[in-house]
Amino acid sequence: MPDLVTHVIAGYGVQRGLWPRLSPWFLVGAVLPDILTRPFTILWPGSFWWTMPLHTPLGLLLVCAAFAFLHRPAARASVFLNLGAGSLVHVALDLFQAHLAGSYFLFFPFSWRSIEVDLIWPETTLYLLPLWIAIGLWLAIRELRKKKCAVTLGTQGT
Amino acid sequence: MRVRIVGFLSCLVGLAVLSFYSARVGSAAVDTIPEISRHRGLPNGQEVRLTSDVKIAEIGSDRFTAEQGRARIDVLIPDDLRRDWDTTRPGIKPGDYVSLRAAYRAPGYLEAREYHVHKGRRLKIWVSVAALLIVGLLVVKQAREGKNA
Repeated sequence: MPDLVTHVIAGYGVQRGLWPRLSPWFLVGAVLPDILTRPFTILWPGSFWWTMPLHTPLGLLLVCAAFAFLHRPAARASVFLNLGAGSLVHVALDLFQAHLAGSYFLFFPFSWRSIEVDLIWPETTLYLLPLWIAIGLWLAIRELRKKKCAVTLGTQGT
Repeated sequence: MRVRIVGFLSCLVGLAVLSFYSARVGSAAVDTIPEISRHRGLPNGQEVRLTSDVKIAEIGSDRFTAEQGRARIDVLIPDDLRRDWDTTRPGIKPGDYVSLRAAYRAPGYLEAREYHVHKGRRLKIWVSVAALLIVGLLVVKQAREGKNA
């Protein structure tokens, strides 16, 4: 996986820049595959094969459906689609990585072929961290200024 | 209500089936150091792949000790990888993560065929924990703004 900051920025970028109608569940979906698997594989390396399906499209489909079933019928489709789309963005970003072992099985359980583009090592995205921090600060400052403007306008109006 | 319960439980059963299948078939390969320790009788030359959750415990001029949990195994660097090892070695320290493709050699060590030291993996883990907090804040903020499902 690239680091989660990269996944969050990608998810937030898609949500804000491409499709503002996406709900907060999309952001949850953007980090979902790693939340479901990484804590276990870091703490118990032997659990890799038990959690591996949770990082595949079919496993994620079931997880998203399970989450959706916990909601009222009117919201189910939205929760499922937003979580699923976020997870899809996550899996797509992960495909650019290289692994010597423990990589991704996109077509599991129908195929055990591991598929990756082998472009970067999993930790390479850390070099982008300063850029993400700068963008995060810029967004936070913009948000604070917007709030300040809204408060000023509100006080002028009254 | 019935649809909700049946649907939710069906998804959980599906996930359990996938996990059991993956564990049963995937675990056939020896891919952790504790497994190598258990299989002392691995055939000489059998290929072993270790994931990035393996740490370097000790560093030598022509070998390092890999550690996973409490299990350890020596990894010999063959001549064809020695030049690469000589340039990599000064930059690594015990505790760094490594992933590895190697051949098992009797009586109980590995001969590296390909390896990669994941410098910065520890930082990546902590950065990812921080990112979870950011996601939490963003989700709460968007939910309060009314962007609900």
